[in-house]
Amino acid sequence: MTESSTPALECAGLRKSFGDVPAVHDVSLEVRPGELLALLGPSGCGKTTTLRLIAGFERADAGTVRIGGRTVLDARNSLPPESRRVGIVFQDYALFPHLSVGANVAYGLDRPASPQGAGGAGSRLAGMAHRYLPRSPRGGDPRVAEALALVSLGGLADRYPHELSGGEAQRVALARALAPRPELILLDEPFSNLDSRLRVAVRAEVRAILKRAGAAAVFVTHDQEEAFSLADRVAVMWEGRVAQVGTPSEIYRRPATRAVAAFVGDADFLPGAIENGVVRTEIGPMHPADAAGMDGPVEVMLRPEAVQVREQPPIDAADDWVWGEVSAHEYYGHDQMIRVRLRSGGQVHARLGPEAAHAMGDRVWVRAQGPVVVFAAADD
Amino acid sequence: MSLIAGIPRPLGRHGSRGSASFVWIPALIVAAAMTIPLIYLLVRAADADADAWNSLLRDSTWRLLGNTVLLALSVTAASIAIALPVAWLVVRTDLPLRRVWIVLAVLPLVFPSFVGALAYLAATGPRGTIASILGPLGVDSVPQITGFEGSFLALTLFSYPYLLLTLLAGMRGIDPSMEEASRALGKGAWRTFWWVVVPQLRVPLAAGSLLVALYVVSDFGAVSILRFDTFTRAIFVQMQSSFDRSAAAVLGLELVALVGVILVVEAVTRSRGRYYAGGTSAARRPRRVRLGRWRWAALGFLTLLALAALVTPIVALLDWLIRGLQNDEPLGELWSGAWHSLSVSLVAAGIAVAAALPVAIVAVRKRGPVAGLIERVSYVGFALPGIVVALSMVFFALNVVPGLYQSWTVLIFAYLVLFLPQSIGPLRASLVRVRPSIEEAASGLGRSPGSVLTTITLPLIVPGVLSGFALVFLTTMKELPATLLLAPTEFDTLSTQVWTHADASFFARAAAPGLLLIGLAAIPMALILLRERGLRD
Repeated sequence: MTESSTPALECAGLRKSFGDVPAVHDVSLEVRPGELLALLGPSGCGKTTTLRLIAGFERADAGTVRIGGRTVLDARNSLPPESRRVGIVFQDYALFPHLSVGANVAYGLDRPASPQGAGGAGSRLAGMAHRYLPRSPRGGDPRVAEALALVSLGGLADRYPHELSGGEAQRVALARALAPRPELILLDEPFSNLDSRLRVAVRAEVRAILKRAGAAAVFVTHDQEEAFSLADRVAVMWEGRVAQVGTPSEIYRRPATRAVAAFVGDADFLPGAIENGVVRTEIGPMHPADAAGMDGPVEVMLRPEAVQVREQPPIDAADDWVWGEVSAHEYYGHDQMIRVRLRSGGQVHARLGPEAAHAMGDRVWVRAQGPVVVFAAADD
Repeated sequence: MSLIAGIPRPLGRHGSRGSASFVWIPALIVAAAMTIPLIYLLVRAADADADAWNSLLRDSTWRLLGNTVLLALSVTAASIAIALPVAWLVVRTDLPLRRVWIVLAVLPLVFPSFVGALAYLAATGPRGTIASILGPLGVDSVPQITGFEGSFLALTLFSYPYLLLTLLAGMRGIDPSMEEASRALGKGAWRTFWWVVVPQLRVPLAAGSLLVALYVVSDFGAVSILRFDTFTRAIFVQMQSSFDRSAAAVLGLELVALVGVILVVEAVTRSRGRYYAGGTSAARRPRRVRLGRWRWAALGFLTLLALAALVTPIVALLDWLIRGLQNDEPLGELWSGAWHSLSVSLVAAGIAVAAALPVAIVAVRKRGPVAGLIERVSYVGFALPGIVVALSMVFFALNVVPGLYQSWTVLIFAYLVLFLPQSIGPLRASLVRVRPSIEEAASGLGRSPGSVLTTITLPLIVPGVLSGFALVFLTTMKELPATLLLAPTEFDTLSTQVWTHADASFFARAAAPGLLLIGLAAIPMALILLRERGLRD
C-alpha cells in the first residue's frame, strides 16, 4: 500500500512435500506494490499449497518469504500466520457465523474497543477482553465502516453471515481481510462458489475494490478467463513449479512451454521443420515468432483464431491454402469452432464468426495467419 | 476443467499446523487417566494367586460364561426380531400414525435396566399388578418372572430401542435411486429388497446389535435384581462377600475379554460392509409399501409391544407406588436421593465435558499416531462395563490413594472413565462442522491460537458442549454399579435406592425412586436421543 518500490511479496525457492508427494517445487514469485498476481494452474499443480505456504498455514520444507520487505520465513525462522500481516479470502469465505458483519470486519483490528484508554491496567484488561472474549463490545472503530464502505456494504454491519447472498459474503470476506491494512491479500479460488453469471460481475467488482484500496494481491484460480480478466500478471503453475510469469497477453500469445500453451486456451500442435527461419508444415510455411537457435523438427502451436478458413479453392495455386474436411462443429453464439481434418489425418481447429455456415463433411481450405509459436519437438 | 472445480477439497487435508501445547497436554493427561482402570485391573489380576487363576477353569466359571453369552445372544436375536420389522413398518409402509408408533417403540429406553427389572418383578407373581388387575377375570396368579426368563424379557424389552434407533437411521439413509435402478434393471420388489436394501442395512444392523450385546454383557442392575448369574453379578457378589478380591479381578478380566470378542466381531462385520456405508442422507423418500389388510396385524404387533415394554412396567410401578402410599411408606429419603443424584451428576457432567474438549480438538484437528491413540484410548469407557471400572477403582483407591476410598473424587473419576465417550461424541460432531478455514481466517487476522479458541471455536461448538453435558448428566443419574461400589457410605442416590429396595423385594419402597428417576433422567434423555437421531418423519 505504501508507494515504495519494496515488493509486496518475494518468495524464493519454496518447497513443500506431503509425505513422499512433492507439492511445491522451487517456487519463486514477486508481487509489486498494488499489483494483482494470479496463480493459474490445473488442480493439483500446487497453487493452493503455495498460497498456504505464503500465509503460514503449511510449514515449508525450504525457501524464504518476505512480505513488504519483512522476512516471515527463512531457513531459521517461520512466523505463525497471525504474525505475517496478510489478509486472506478463503474459497468458502470462512465468515464467522456467530459474529455480525461488523464484528467480522472488526475481528482483525488490533485496537480494543475501549475508548482512548491511555495505557494503564484498564486498557490492558480491555485488550485481553478484546482478544479472548467471544464478543468483545464493539466500539465504533472507524476502520470497520471504512472497510465496509470500500466494498459498498455500508448498511450491512448488523447483518449475520447467514443473511448474506453469495456475492455479499464474498465482499464481506474481502472487507474483513482489507480492514487491518495488510501488506498483501491472498485469495484462494475466490469465485468458485458463485454461479457463473454472478461470477463475472463480482470479478470486476473485486478487482475495482482491490485497486481502490491499492492492495497487492495474489489469487489462486484454475480458470484461465478469470486469471486473465482479473490479474495484472499471471504465474502459470505446472506440476509444482512456476512454468511462466507474464502479462495475460504474453502468456496467451507467447507461452513458454507446450504445457502452458495447452493449458491456457485452445491450441493445436502440428509437426513441422524449421529451415532458414521458416517453419514448413502440412498447411504451408509459417513464420515463427521466436525461433532463435532452433533448427530441424519442431511443433507448431496454432491458436484457433490464427487459422483462416475459406469455402472456395484459392484462385492462385501459389497461395498456401490446403484443403481438409469439417469433422466437428460447435456453435456458441458469439462465435463458433470448427475442426478440420487434414489429408494427413492431422487436424486443426478454427474459430469463426457467428455467420459462417459449415456442415459436417464440407470441404474447406485453411491456412495459418501471423507469426506462430514453435516448440522443440521433444519439448515436454 | 470446470468439472474439476466443482469437487470440494477434502476436509482436513490442510489444518494441522503447529502444536498448541495447551490442547495437547490436557488431552494427553486425560488419555493417560483413562487407562488407569484397565491397567490397574491387570496389575491386580497379576497379583492373584494360583487359586484365583485356577478358578478360571472351574465349572462355575464356565457356567458364568455360558450364562452371559446365552443371555447376550438371545437378547440380541430377540431385539433384531423386534426392531427390524418395526423399523420397516414405520419407515417403509403406509402404516397409520407412523410418528406416534416411532415414539412409542423407542420410548422403552427410558427404563434403566434395574427399573425395568423392578417393574416386571412388581407386575408378576401372585401379588403382582397383573394378577390384581386380571383378578376379576379369574386370573389370580401369574408366575413370578426371575432368573434367565426374567432377565431375557427385561433386557430385550428395554434394550431393543438402541438397535431400532440405528436401524431407523440406516433405513432412512438408503438412497431410493438405488432401488429404482434395481427395479429399472428388471428386478421385482421382493428381489430388490433382498439384494439392494438388506445388504445396505448390514452396517446399522451390526452396529445396533453390538450396542445391545454390550449393554447385556455389562448390565448389572437387571441380572442382579432378577438373580441370574452372569459375570457382573458374580463380580459384585465376590466383592461384597469374600475377602479374596483377586478372584473378582480375574472375573473382571474375563468379562473384558468377552467384550473384546464382541468388539472384534463387530469390527469385522463393519469392515466387510464398508462399501454399503456410502450415502448418508437420502434426497428423496422411497415409495411406501401398501399394507392393505396386513395393517391390522402390524397394528396388533405394535400394540402388543407397547403394552409389554411401556404400559405394563409403568402401570406396575404406579400400582406399587399407590400401595406404598396407602401403607404410609416414608418418602423422606426420596429427596435426599434425588439431591444426591442431581448434584453428583452435575459435577460429573461438568468435568466430563471439560476433559472431553481437548481430546475432541486433538481428534478432529490434529493428525498423526499420537492423536489417533489419544482418541482411541478415550473411548475405553465405552468397552468397559461399569462394574469392572468400579472394581478396578476400588483396588486403586485402597492401594494407591487410601484417603480417597469411598469419596466423591473416586466416584466422579469412575463416571469420567465410563462416560467420557458420550461427551466426546457431540463435541466431535460439532467441531467437525466448524470448517478449518474459519479458524485459519481468525489466525490470518492476527489472533493467537488461544484467542482463536475462545473467540471462534468455543462459541461455535456451544450446542455440542451443551448436549455432551446433558448426555453425561442424564446417564450418570441412571448409573448403578459404580455408584453402589464407590459412593461414600450413606450417600444414596435414586438408583441405589431402587436397587437396594428391589433387591430386598420392597417393591413399594422402590417404586417411588424408580418413577422419579425415569421422570428426571430417562425421559429428557429419550427426548435428546429422539431429536439427535433425526427421527422427524
